[in-house]
Amino acid sequence: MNCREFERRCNARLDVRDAPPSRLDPALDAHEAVCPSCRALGAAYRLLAQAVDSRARSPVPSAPDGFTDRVLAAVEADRMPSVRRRQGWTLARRWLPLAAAAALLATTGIGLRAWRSGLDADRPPVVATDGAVPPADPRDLPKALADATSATLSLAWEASVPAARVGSEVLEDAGFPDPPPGLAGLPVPSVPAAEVWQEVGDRVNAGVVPLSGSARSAFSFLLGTRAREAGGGLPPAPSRPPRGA
Amino acid sequence: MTGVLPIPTDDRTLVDALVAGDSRAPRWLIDRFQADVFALCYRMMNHRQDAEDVAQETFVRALRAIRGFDVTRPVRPWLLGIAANRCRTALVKRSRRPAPTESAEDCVDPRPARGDPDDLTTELALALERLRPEYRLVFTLFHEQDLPYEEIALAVERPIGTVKTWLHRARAELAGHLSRRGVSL
Repeated sequence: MNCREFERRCNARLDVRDAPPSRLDPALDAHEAVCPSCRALGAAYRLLAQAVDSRARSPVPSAPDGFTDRVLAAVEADRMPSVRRRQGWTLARRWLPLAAAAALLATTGIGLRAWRSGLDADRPPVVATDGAVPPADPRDLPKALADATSATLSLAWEASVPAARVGSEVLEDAGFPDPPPGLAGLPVPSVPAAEVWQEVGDRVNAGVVPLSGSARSAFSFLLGTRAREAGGGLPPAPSRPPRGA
Repeated sequence: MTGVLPIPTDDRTLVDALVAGDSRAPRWLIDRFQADVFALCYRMMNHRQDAEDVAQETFVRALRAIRGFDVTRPVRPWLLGIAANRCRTALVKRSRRPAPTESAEDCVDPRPARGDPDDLTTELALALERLRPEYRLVFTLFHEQDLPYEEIALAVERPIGTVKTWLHRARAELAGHLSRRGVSL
Protein backbone atom coordinates (compact mmCIF):
# COMPACT_ATOMS: atom_id res chain seq x y z
CA MET A 1 0.00 0.00 0.00
CA ASN A 2 1.27 3.45 -0.84
CA CYS A 3 0.49 6.68 1.01
CA ARG A 4 -2.16 7.75 -1.48
CA GLU A 5 -4.03 4.50 -1.12
CA PHE A 6 -3.69 4.80 2.64
CA GLU A 7 -5.36 8.23 2.60
CA ARG A 8 -8.10 7.02 0.26
CA ARG A 9 -8.95 4.09 2.51
CA CYS A 10 -8.93 6.24 5.62
CA ASN A 11 -11.39 8.53 3.93
CA ALA A 12 -13.53 5.69 2.64
CA ARG A 13 -13.90 4.28 6.14
CA LEU A 14 -15.94 7.36 6.98
CA ASP A 15 -18.45 6.37 4.32
CA VAL A 16 -19.56 3.54 6.53
CA ARG A 17 -22.16 5.01 8.80
CA ASP A 18 -22.29 3.84 12.40
CA ALA A 19 -19.08 1.88 12.02
CA PRO A 20 -17.41 1.16 15.35
CA PRO A 21 -14.45 3.58 15.51
CA SER A 22 -12.27 0.96 17.12
CA ARG A 23 -12.51 -1.37 14.12
CA LEU A 24 -9.11 -1.32 12.46
CA ASP A 25 -7.97 -2.27 9.05
CA PRO A 26 -4.87 -4.51 9.28
CA ALA A 27 -3.52 -3.13 6.00
CA LEU A 28 -3.74 0.41 7.32
CA ASP A 29 -2.04 -0.64 10.53
CA ALA A 30 0.77 -2.24 8.58
CA HIS A 31 1.36 0.89 6.52
CA GLU A 32 1.21 3.16 9.56
CA ALA A 33 3.88 1.05 11.20
CA VAL A 34 6.39 1.91 8.50
CA CYS A 35 5.25 5.43 7.49
CA PRO A 36 5.38 8.17 10.13
CA SER A 37 3.50 10.76 8.04
CA CYS A 38 0.65 8.34 7.40
CA ARG A 39 0.62 7.47 11.07
CA ALA A 40 -0.18 11.13 11.80
CA LEU A 41 -2.71 11.17 8.98
CA GLY A 42 -4.39 8.05 10.30
CA ALA A 43 -4.63 9.61 13.74
CA ALA A 44 -6.20 12.71 12.24
CA TYR A 45 -8.83 10.65 10.45
CA ARG A 46 -9.64 8.69 13.60
CA LEU A 47 -10.03 12.01 15.36
CA LEU A 48 -12.32 13.23 12.63
CA ALA A 49 -14.44 10.10 12.85
CA GLN A 50 -14.89 10.69 16.56
CA ALA A 51 -15.67 14.37 16.03
CA VAL A 52 -18.26 13.54 13.39
CA ASP A 53 -19.87 11.03 15.72
CA SER A 54 -19.85 13.53 18.54
CA ARG A 55 -21.36 16.29 16.43
CA ALA A 56 -24.03 14.01 15.00
CA ARG A 57 -25.15 13.24 18.53
CA SER A 58 -25.25 16.88 19.57
CA PRO A 59 -28.83 18.17 19.37
CA VAL A 60 -29.90 20.61 16.70
CA PRO A 61 -32.55 23.07 17.89
CA SER A 62 -35.91 22.66 16.26
CA ALA A 63 -37.70 25.35 14.37
CA PRO A 64 -39.36 27.85 16.69
CA ASP A 65 -43.00 27.70 17.69
CA GLY A 66 -45.21 29.27 15.11
CA PHE A 67 -42.71 28.64 12.34
CA THR A 68 -45.32 27.04 10.09
CA ASP A 69 -47.72 29.97 10.49
CA ARG A 70 -44.91 32.42 9.84
CA VAL A 71 -43.97 30.62 6.64
CA LEU A 72 -47.59 30.40 5.51
CA ALA A 73 -47.95 34.15 6.04
CA ALA A 74 -44.80 34.70 3.98
CA VAL A 75 -46.16 32.42 1.25
CA GLU A 76 -49.39 34.40 1.19
CA ALA A 77 -47.47 37.67 1.01
CA ASP A 78 -45.39 36.20 -1.81
CA ARG A 79 -48.50 35.37 -3.82
CA MET A 80 -50.04 38.84 -3.65
CA PRO A 81 -47.39 40.73 -5.63
CA SER A 82 -47.44 37.89 -8.12
CA VAL A 83 -51.13 38.45 -8.76
CA ARG A 84 -50.53 42.18 -9.12
CA ARG A 85 -47.65 41.52 -11.49
CA ARG A 86 -49.84 39.32 -13.66
CA GLN A 87 -52.56 41.96 -13.78
CA GLY A 88 -50.03 44.59 -14.70
CA TRP A 89 -48.59 42.40 -17.44
CA THR A 90 -52.03 41.74 -18.88
CA LEU A 91 -52.59 45.47 -19.14
CA ALA A 92 -49.14 45.99 -20.59
CA ARG A 93 -49.76 43.32 -23.22
CA ARG A 94 -52.73 45.28 -24.51
CA TRP A 95 -50.74 48.50 -24.80
CA LEU A 96 -47.43 47.13 -25.97
CA PRO A 97 -48.23 47.15 -29.71
CA LEU A 98 -49.26 50.78 -29.55
CA ALA A 99 -46.22 51.67 -27.46
CA ALA A 100 -43.96 49.91 -29.94
CA ALA A 101 -45.50 51.73 -32.86
CA ALA A 102 -45.22 55.08 -31.06
CA ALA A 103 -41.59 54.46 -30.18
CA LEU A 104 -40.74 53.51 -33.75
CA LEU A 105 -42.62 56.51 -35.09
CA ALA A 106 -40.69 58.82 -32.79
CA THR A 107 -37.42 57.23 -33.84
CA THR A 108 -38.28 57.57 -37.50
CA GLY A 109 -39.27 61.20 -37.11
CA ILE A 110 -36.04 62.05 -35.37
CA GLY A 111 -34.04 60.23 -38.00
CA LEU A 112 -35.89 61.89 -40.86
CA ARG A 113 -35.27 65.30 -39.40
CA ALA A 114 -31.61 64.53 -39.10
CA TRP A 115 -31.46 63.32 -42.68
CA ARG A 116 -33.30 66.30 -44.07
CA SER A 117 -31.05 68.60 -42.12
CA GLY A 118 -28.20 66.91 -43.90
CA LEU A 119 -29.82 67.63 -47.29
CA ASP A 120 -30.33 71.27 -46.39
CA ALA A 121 -26.70 71.56 -45.51
CA ASP A 122 -25.75 70.65 -49.08
CA ARG A 123 -27.76 73.54 -50.55
CA PRO A 124 -26.17 76.91 -51.13
CA PRO A 125 -26.96 79.41 -48.41
CA VAL A 126 -29.99 81.60 -49.01
CA VAL A 127 -29.12 85.20 -49.53
CA ALA A 128 -31.69 87.78 -48.45
CA THR A 129 -32.57 90.18 -51.23
CA ASP A 130 -34.83 92.62 -49.45
CA GLY A 131 -32.38 93.38 -46.73
CA ALA A 132 -35.01 92.84 -44.00
CA VAL A 133 -33.46 89.75 -42.44
CA PRO A 134 -29.71 89.46 -42.33
CA PRO A 135 -28.52 86.08 -43.58
CA ALA A 136 -27.08 83.63 -41.10
CA ASP A 137 -23.37 83.36 -41.06
CA PRO A 138 -22.68 80.30 -43.21
CA ARG A 139 -19.61 79.54 -41.16
CA ASP A 140 -21.88 78.64 -38.21
CA LEU A 141 -23.95 76.20 -40.21
CA PRO A 142 -21.58 73.17 -40.18
CA LYS A 143 -21.10 73.50 -36.44
CA ALA A 144 -24.82 73.86 -35.79
CA LEU A 145 -25.55 70.94 -38.05
CA ALA A 146 -22.93 68.80 -36.36
CA ASP A 147 -24.40 69.64 -32.96
CA ALA A 148 -27.91 68.91 -34.12
CA THR A 149 -26.85 65.65 -35.72
CA SER A 150 -25.05 64.53 -32.62
CA ALA A 151 -28.00 65.38 -30.40
CA THR A 152 -30.44 63.73 -32.78
CA LEU A 153 -28.41 60.56 -33.00
CA SER A 154 -28.21 60.41 -29.23
CA LEU A 155 -31.96 60.76 -29.01
CA ALA A 156 -32.46 58.20 -31.75
CA TRP A 157 -30.15 55.79 -30.00
CA GLU A 158 -31.99 56.18 -26.71
CA ALA A 159 -35.33 55.72 -28.42
CA SER A 160 -34.23 52.78 -30.56
CA VAL A 161 -33.12 50.49 -27.77
CA PRO A 162 -36.42 50.48 -25.88
CA ALA A 163 -38.26 50.35 -29.17
CA ALA A 164 -36.36 47.23 -30.19
CA ARG A 165 -36.95 45.71 -26.78
CA VAL A 166 -40.65 46.46 -26.92
CA GLY A 167 -40.82 45.09 -30.43
CA SER A 168 -39.13 41.90 -29.33
CA GLU A 169 -41.57 41.51 -26.46
CA VAL A 170 -44.45 42.07 -28.81
CA LEU A 171 -43.22 39.31 -31.08
CA GLU A 172 -42.80 36.96 -28.19
CA ASP A 173 -46.33 37.70 -27.17
CA ALA A 174 -49.23 35.89 -28.81
CA GLY A 175 -49.70 38.48 -31.50
CA PHE A 176 -51.45 41.80 -31.49
CA PRO A 177 -54.59 41.81 -29.35
CA ASP A 178 -57.48 44.12 -29.98
CA PRO A 179 -56.63 47.76 -29.51
CA PRO A 180 -57.57 49.24 -26.15
CA PRO A 181 -61.10 50.67 -25.80
CA GLY A 182 -61.34 54.12 -27.26
CA LEU A 183 -58.54 53.49 -29.71
CA ALA A 184 -60.40 51.07 -31.92
CA GLY A 185 -60.73 53.65 -34.64
CA LEU A 186 -57.03 54.32 -34.89
CA PRO A 187 -55.10 52.47 -37.56
CA VAL A 188 -52.80 49.89 -36.13
CA PRO A 189 -49.85 49.23 -38.40
CA SER A 190 -49.42 45.80 -39.83
CA VAL A 191 -46.71 43.74 -38.18
CA PRO A 192 -43.50 43.39 -40.14
CA ALA A 193 -41.99 39.98 -40.58
CA ALA A 194 -40.27 38.56 -37.54
CA GLU A 195 -36.91 38.52 -39.24
CA VAL A 196 -37.15 42.25 -39.94
CA TRP A 197 -37.81 42.93 -36.25
CA GLN A 198 -34.92 40.70 -35.35
CA GLU A 199 -32.62 42.42 -37.76
CA VAL A 200 -33.60 45.87 -36.52
CA GLY A 201 -32.96 44.78 -32.95
CA ASP A 202 -29.64 43.23 -33.86
CA ARG A 203 -28.47 46.30 -35.70
CA VAL A 204 -29.60 48.65 -32.97
CA ASN A 205 -27.68 46.54 -30.50
CA ALA A 206 -24.69 46.58 -32.82
CA GLY A 207 -24.73 50.37 -32.84
CA VAL A 208 -25.91 50.87 -36.42
CA VAL A 209 -27.21 54.41 -36.85
CA PRO A 210 -30.92 54.87 -37.56
CA LEU A 211 -32.15 54.86 -41.11
CA SER A 212 -29.77 52.17 -42.21
CA GLY A 213 -31.22 49.85 -44.83
CA SER A 214 -32.74 47.49 -42.32
CA ALA A 215 -34.20 50.24 -40.21
CA ARG A 216 -35.70 51.85 -43.26
CA SER A 217 -37.23 48.57 -44.26
CA ALA A 218 -38.61 48.02 -40.80
CA PHE A 219 -40.02 51.52 -40.48
CA SER A 220 -41.57 51.67 -43.91
CA PHE A 221 -44.79 50.14 -42.63
CA LEU A 222 -45.47 53.43 -40.86
CA LEU A 223 -46.16 55.04 -44.23
CA GLY A 224 -49.07 52.72 -44.93
CA THR A 225 -49.75 50.09 -47.50
CA ARG A 226 -50.68 52.46 -50.32
CA ALA A 227 -47.49 54.45 -50.09
CA ARG A 228 -45.41 51.27 -50.11
CA GLU A 229 -47.24 49.89 -53.14
CA ALA A 230 -46.66 53.15 -54.94
CA GLY A 231 -43.01 52.97 -54.20
CA GLY A 232 -43.34 56.06 -52.06
CA GLY A 233 -41.53 54.73 -49.08
CA LEU A 234 -38.96 56.60 -47.16
CA PRO A 235 -36.59 58.67 -49.24
CA PRO A 236 -33.43 56.90 -50.25
CA ALA A 237 -30.63 56.82 -47.79
CA PRO A 238 -28.06 59.53 -48.31
CA SER A 239 -25.05 58.16 -50.00
CA ARG A 240 -22.00 58.33 -47.83
CA PRO A 241 -19.05 60.24 -49.23
CA PRO A 242 -16.10 58.04 -50.05
CA ARG A 243 -13.62 57.61 -47.26
CA GLY A 244 -11.11 60.42 -47.26
CA ALA A 245 -13.26 62.69 -49.42
CA MET B 1 -65.91 17.50 13.32
CA THR B 2 -62.57 19.16 14.04
CA GLY B 3 -60.19 16.23 13.96
CA VAL B 4 -56.70 16.90 12.64
CA LEU B 5 -56.11 15.19 9.32
CA PRO B 6 -52.95 13.14 9.10
CA ILE B 7 -50.15 14.56 7.00
CA PRO B 8 -49.73 12.55 3.80
CA THR B 9 -46.67 10.38 4.23
CA ASP B 10 -46.02 9.74 0.57
CA ASP B 11 -44.59 12.38 -1.67
CA ARG B 12 -46.98 11.85 -4.54
CA THR B 13 -50.10 12.48 -2.49
CA LEU B 14 -48.57 15.57 -0.97
CA VAL B 15 -47.44 17.01 -4.29
CA ASP B 16 -50.77 16.20 -5.92
CA ALA B 17 -52.55 18.06 -3.15
CA LEU B 18 -50.23 21.04 -3.56
CA VAL B 19 -50.66 21.17 -7.30
CA ALA B 20 -54.42 20.79 -6.97
CA GLY B 21 -54.48 23.84 -4.75
CA ASP B 22 -55.57 22.08 -1.57
CA SER B 23 -55.36 24.84 1.01
CA ARG B 24 -54.11 22.43 3.67
CA ALA B 25 -51.24 21.11 1.59
CA PRO B 26 -48.70 23.91 2.22
CA ARG B 27 -49.04 23.33 5.96
CA TRP B 28 -48.54 19.59 5.40
CA LEU B 29 -45.39 20.23 3.44
CA ILE B 30 -43.94 22.57 6.06
CA ASP B 31 -44.88 20.38 9.01
CA ARG B 32 -43.40 17.31 7.42
CA PHE B 33 -40.08 18.74 6.29
CA GLN B 34 -39.36 21.68 8.56
CA ALA B 35 -37.13 19.64 10.87
CA ASP B 36 -34.88 18.53 8.00
CA VAL B 37 -34.80 21.93 6.36
CA PHE B 38 -34.23 23.85 9.56
CA ALA B 39 -31.50 21.48 10.72
CA LEU B 40 -29.62 21.90 7.45
CA CYS B 41 -30.01 25.66 7.55
CA TYR B 42 -28.89 25.78 11.17
CA ARG B 43 -25.81 23.69 10.49
CA MET B 44 -24.92 25.72 7.42
CA MET B 45 -25.58 29.17 8.83
CA ASN B 46 -24.45 28.59 12.41
CA HIS B 47 -26.91 31.25 13.41
CA ARG B 48 -30.42 30.63 14.62
CA GLN B 49 -32.14 33.71 13.23
CA ASP B 50 -30.38 33.37 9.87
CA ALA B 51 -31.39 29.71 9.79
CA GLU B 52 -35.03 30.61 10.41
CA ASP B 53 -34.97 33.19 7.64
CA VAL B 54 -33.37 30.84 5.15
CA ALA B 55 -35.69 27.98 6.06
CA GLN B 56 -38.68 30.25 5.56
CA GLU B 57 -37.38 31.40 2.20
CA THR B 58 -36.84 27.78 1.23
CA PHE B 59 -40.49 26.91 1.74
CA VAL B 60 -41.68 30.08 0.05
CA ARG B 61 -39.62 29.26 -3.02
CA ALA B 62 -40.62 25.62 -2.98
CA LEU B 63 -44.31 26.45 -2.86
CA ARG B 64 -43.84 29.01 -5.61
CA ALA B 65 -42.23 26.38 -7.83
CA ILE B 66 -44.35 23.39 -6.93
CA ARG B 67 -46.30 23.35 -10.19
CA GLY B 68 -43.10 22.72 -12.10
CA PHE B 69 -41.95 19.99 -9.76
CA ASP B 70 -41.20 16.62 -11.31
CA VAL B 71 -43.49 14.30 -9.36
CA THR B 72 -41.19 11.37 -10.03
CA ARG B 73 -38.52 12.96 -7.84
CA PRO B 74 -38.45 12.59 -4.08
CA VAL B 75 -39.43 15.76 -2.26
CA ARG B 76 -36.82 15.78 0.50
CA PRO B 77 -33.66 16.17 -1.64
CA TRP B 78 -35.47 18.73 -3.77
CA LEU B 79 -36.32 20.79 -0.72
CA LEU B 80 -32.86 20.37 0.76
CA GLY B 81 -31.39 21.44 -2.57
CA ILE B 82 -33.40 24.65 -2.45
CA ALA B 83 -32.32 25.13 1.16
CA ALA B 84 -28.70 24.51 0.19
CA ASN B 85 -28.85 27.14 -2.54
CA ARG B 86 -30.49 29.62 -0.20
CA CYS B 87 -27.82 28.94 2.42
CA ARG B 88 -25.03 29.50 -0.06
CA THR B 89 -26.59 32.77 -1.19
CA ALA B 90 -27.15 33.87 2.40
CA LEU B 91 -23.58 32.99 3.33
CA VAL B 92 -22.23 35.06 0.46
CA LYS B 93 -24.43 37.99 1.45
CA ARG B 94 -23.45 37.64 5.06
CA SER B 95 -19.77 37.61 4.19
CA ARG B 96 -20.18 40.94 2.39
CA ARG B 97 -21.90 42.83 5.16
CA PRO B 98 -20.25 44.03 8.35
CA ALA B 99 -20.63 41.77 11.34
CA PRO B 100 -23.82 42.75 13.13
CA THR B 101 -24.22 43.05 16.85
CA GLU B 102 -26.34 40.06 17.83
CA SER B 103 -27.55 38.30 20.89
CA ALA B 104 -25.52 35.44 22.26
CA GLU B 105 -28.37 33.00 21.93
CA ASP B 106 -28.59 33.57 18.18
CA CYS B 107 -24.96 32.78 17.57
CA VAL B 108 -23.50 29.32 17.60
CA ASP B 109 -20.07 30.02 18.98
CA PRO B 110 -17.71 27.63 17.21
CA ARG B 111 -14.71 28.50 19.35
CA PRO B 112 -13.60 25.95 21.88
CA ALA B 113 -14.17 27.09 25.38
CA ARG B 114 -11.18 28.21 27.31
CA GLY B 115 -9.69 25.31 29.17
CA ASP B 116 -11.51 22.87 26.92
CA PRO B 117 -9.16 22.56 23.95
CA ASP B 118 -10.11 18.98 23.22
CA ASP B 119 -13.75 19.69 22.64
CA LEU B 120 -14.11 17.82 19.39
CA THR B 121 -17.54 19.14 18.55
CA THR B 122 -16.55 22.77 18.77
CA GLU B 123 -13.28 22.13 16.98
CA LEU B 124 -15.15 20.46 14.17
CA ALA B 125 -17.62 23.35 14.00
CA LEU B 126 -14.70 25.75 13.75
CA ALA B 127 -13.16 23.71 10.96
CA LEU B 128 -16.47 23.50 9.11
CA GLU B 129 -16.76 27.28 9.18
CA ARG B 130 -13.59 27.43 7.13
CA LEU B 131 -14.65 24.98 4.48
CA ARG B 132 -15.91 26.01 1.10
CA PRO B 133 -19.73 26.15 1.19
CA GLU B 134 -20.17 23.24 -1.21
CA TYR B 135 -17.82 21.05 0.83
CA ARG B 136 -19.60 21.98 4.04
CA LEU B 137 -22.92 21.30 2.38
CA VAL B 138 -22.16 17.77 1.24
CA PHE B 139 -20.48 17.02 4.56
CA THR B 140 -23.58 18.20 6.43
CA LEU B 141 -25.96 16.34 4.15
CA PHE B 142 -23.98 13.11 4.48
CA HIS B 143 -22.90 13.07 8.09
CA GLU B 144 -25.68 15.03 9.74
CA GLN B 145 -28.71 14.61 7.53
CA ASP B 146 -27.76 11.02 6.74
CA LEU B 147 -28.62 11.39 3.09
CA PRO B 148 -27.27 8.76 0.70
CA TYR B 149 -25.00 9.84 -2.10
CA GLU B 150 -27.82 9.61 -4.62
CA GLU B 151 -30.01 12.06 -2.74
CA ILE B 152 -27.13 14.43 -2.12
CA ALA B 153 -26.40 14.42 -5.83
CA LEU B 154 -30.04 15.32 -6.49
CA ALA B 155 -29.99 18.05 -3.87
CA VAL B 156 -26.84 19.76 -5.11
CA GLU B 157 -27.54 18.92 -8.74
CA ARG B 158 -24.14 17.41 -9.33
CA PRO B 159 -23.05 13.93 -10.39
CA ILE B 160 -22.40 11.42 -7.63
CA GLY B 161 -18.71 11.42 -8.50
CA THR B 162 -18.51 15.15 -7.83
CA VAL B 163 -20.29 14.70 -4.53
CA LYS B 164 -17.83 12.00 -3.49
CA THR B 165 -14.91 14.20 -4.46
CA TRP B 166 -16.25 17.16 -2.48
CA LEU B 167 -16.90 14.99 0.55
CA HIS B 168 -13.46 13.43 0.30
CA ARG B 169 -11.82 16.86 0.17
CA ALA B 170 -13.98 18.13 3.00
CA ARG B 171 -12.87 15.29 5.23
CA ALA B 172 -9.22 15.69 4.27
CA GLU B 173 -9.33 19.40 5.11
CA LEU B 174 -11.16 18.76 8.37
CA ALA B 175 -8.73 16.05 9.41
CA GLY B 176 -5.85 18.35 8.57
CA HIS B 177 -7.41 21.14 10.61
CA LEU B 178 -7.89 18.92 13.65
CA SER B 179 -4.36 17.66 13.35
CA ARG B 180 -2.89 21.18 13.06
CA ARG B 181 -4.89 22.34 16.06
CA GLY B 182 -3.25 19.65 18.10
CA VAL B 183 -6.52 18.07 19.09
CA SER B 184 -5.94 14.62 20.47
CA LEU B 185 -8.14 11.73 21.46
